[in-house]
Amino acid sequence: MAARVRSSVRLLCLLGALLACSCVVAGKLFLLQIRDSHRMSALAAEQRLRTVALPAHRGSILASDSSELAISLDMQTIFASPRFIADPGAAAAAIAPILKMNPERLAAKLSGDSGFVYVARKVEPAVAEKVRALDITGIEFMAEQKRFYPSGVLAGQVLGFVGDDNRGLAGLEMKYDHLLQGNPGKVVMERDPGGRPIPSGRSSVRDAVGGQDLVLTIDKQIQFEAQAALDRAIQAWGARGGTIVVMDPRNGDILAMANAPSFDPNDLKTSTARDRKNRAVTDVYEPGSVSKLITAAAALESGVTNPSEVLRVADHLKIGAKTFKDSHHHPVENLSFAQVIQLSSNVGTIKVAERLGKTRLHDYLVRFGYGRVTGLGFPGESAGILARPEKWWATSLGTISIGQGVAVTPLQMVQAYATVANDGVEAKPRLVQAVVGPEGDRQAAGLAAPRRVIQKETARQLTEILVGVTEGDDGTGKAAAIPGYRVAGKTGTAQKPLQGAAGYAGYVASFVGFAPADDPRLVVGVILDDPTPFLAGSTAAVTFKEVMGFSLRRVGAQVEVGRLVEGAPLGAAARN
Amino acid sequence: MTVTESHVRRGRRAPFPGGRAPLSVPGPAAATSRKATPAASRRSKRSDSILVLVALLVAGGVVFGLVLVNIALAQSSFQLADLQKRSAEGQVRQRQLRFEVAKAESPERIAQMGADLGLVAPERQEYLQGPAVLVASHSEPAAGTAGFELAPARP
Repeated sequence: MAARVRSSVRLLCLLGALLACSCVVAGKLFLLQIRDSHRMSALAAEQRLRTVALPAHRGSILASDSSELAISLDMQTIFASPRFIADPGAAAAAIAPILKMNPERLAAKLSGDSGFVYVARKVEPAVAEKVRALDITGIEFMAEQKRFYPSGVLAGQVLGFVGDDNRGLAGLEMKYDHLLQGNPGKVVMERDPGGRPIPSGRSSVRDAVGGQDLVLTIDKQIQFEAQAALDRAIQAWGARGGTIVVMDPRNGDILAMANAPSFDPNDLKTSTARDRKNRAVTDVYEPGSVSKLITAAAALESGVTNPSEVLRVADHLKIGAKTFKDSHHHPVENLSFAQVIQLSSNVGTIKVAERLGKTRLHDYLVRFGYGRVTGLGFPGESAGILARPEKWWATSLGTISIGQGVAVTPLQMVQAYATVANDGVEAKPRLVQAVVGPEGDRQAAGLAAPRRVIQKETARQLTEILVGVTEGDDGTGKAAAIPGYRVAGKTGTAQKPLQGAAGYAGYVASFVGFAPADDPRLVVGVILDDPTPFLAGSTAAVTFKEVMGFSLRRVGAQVEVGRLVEGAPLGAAARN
Repeated sequence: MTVTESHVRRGRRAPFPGGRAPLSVPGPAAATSRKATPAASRRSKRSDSILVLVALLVAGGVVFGLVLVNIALAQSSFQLADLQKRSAEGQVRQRQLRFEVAKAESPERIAQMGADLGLVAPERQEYLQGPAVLVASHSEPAAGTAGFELAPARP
């Protein structure tokens, strides 16, 4: 009986122990499976699942003929985990000759206990393969894109450049970064304890969506010719810099935007911030006599004068304490208003501006785009400098009417002439004509609504006056005349204001014009910073002729055979 | 049929009033029942064996099928990965070629190549007006045509 009781007690104890164990196990299971299930699942997934980022391919930037101006290529970045490299010296000795690196410096980099160090970024895949073939433990590879600019300096300041992370840092690369960069994707896959992917394991893929291509309005040939002509001008006349803009006045398409000094976006290290500036939109200058176009437009449109009205013009005019002078001494002359502009008489222009008054002159300057950005939206674009009329000095009407005391960008000045060329209607400038998606779907960039600035009749009168600048006997821009075409344009030789001080030093020579005058296809603006000689008629007008002549032939503008002149050299082409 | 008979037929002990079973001689039905039980059992065992065999075969087939499907999936997945790799390589190559073409088409390079080959830009530009065919075949414009004009020019 006692034995049976003992046996029962033992059984009960065993049962109790088993129950207790079961409770512990059940409790632990509860903790693991229910309370901490999410955390545990996540930990397990972290061990088994591997996520690999798929970088999106950056879109290209194309010229108007769809040839690449900027393209991204897949490169290989070589990195190392020094803690896994058994013999850094031997590894460096093997790798350095392939990568053309200093073996000692590389060995130092590969030594130590670091987990990650770059060996070389964005190297050619073929070069990376040579390093991979060495099969050195601790040397790893990853794909990265590198931006290339196949045409080198061509439109470098317009295109801009990207950083090491392939994000746009300047120019169109920066402005349209959101379109170019695309959306990165990712791959999530299960891997075995050795780190190898399990083919039939759980996996998910979100494909990267490539960036969109930008099709620019830039004509590669005209851009090249503009850059070459600008470089020649800089060299010939010792100018400190310059800008050339070529625009289609009918739709605002910018066909060329050349700057000097220039730079190659493939080789940023050899350039300075000054080289990388797109001066056509970021820098302002006092335009001088080319701005008389707007004074003339305001005067004609307001009816305060007409092209044939004769004015008595001396060679100087005193307003307050300031005496304004013409560029050369001359007796008091009877000049028509058209001649006043064609001869670029400061005195005649100021006399007409006095009839206009400062408010009306200011109003027309604003209408032509002074003091506000053009709408191009280029990074760093300047609005120029135009004071409100209530802040003008007593002499401001005189200075501003002849293009001093006011500052514009070269693009603003070209746009003003484009407005006249387009029968008084302003077309907003643009650099991008279309966007092409990764699947090839092309979306044309919209044109901004045109805006009438002056009446068509006024524009035609101005055009005839400007033709006289290049064709008239005393025109200041005769060097800009192009056989076979009627050219309308204006010279400007403006004094440069001193930086941070009153007064002027040096000159900016410019010529802005359009052709053919009867059916304008192109507007070209040439601005040279401090050339020698400083007169625009001897410098900027010559470069204008070279660029405009080439561009007219390039776009197939109709030649007037009766205007052809026999036997003259081609100028620009001959010097290529 | 009595209660007892029915129970004998079923091969069971019938309930006895008074708690004690009466002596009895097994009837023909009981004998038949004893003879049939082993045969039925054998049949039952055989059919069970067949069932198990079929089940095993089915299970084996399913397992084998699953293995085959898995192999096929794995093969397809390898093929897919291979094709994707080849496609990616093709895209890389295509981009590389586009880059090479763009470099070759660069105006600067073309101008340099022309200069290296000794090419020079023309000093004059000539424009043809009217039917160009007349340039080669006639020194005078044909009657009734607009004629042509060869005009050297400068830009």
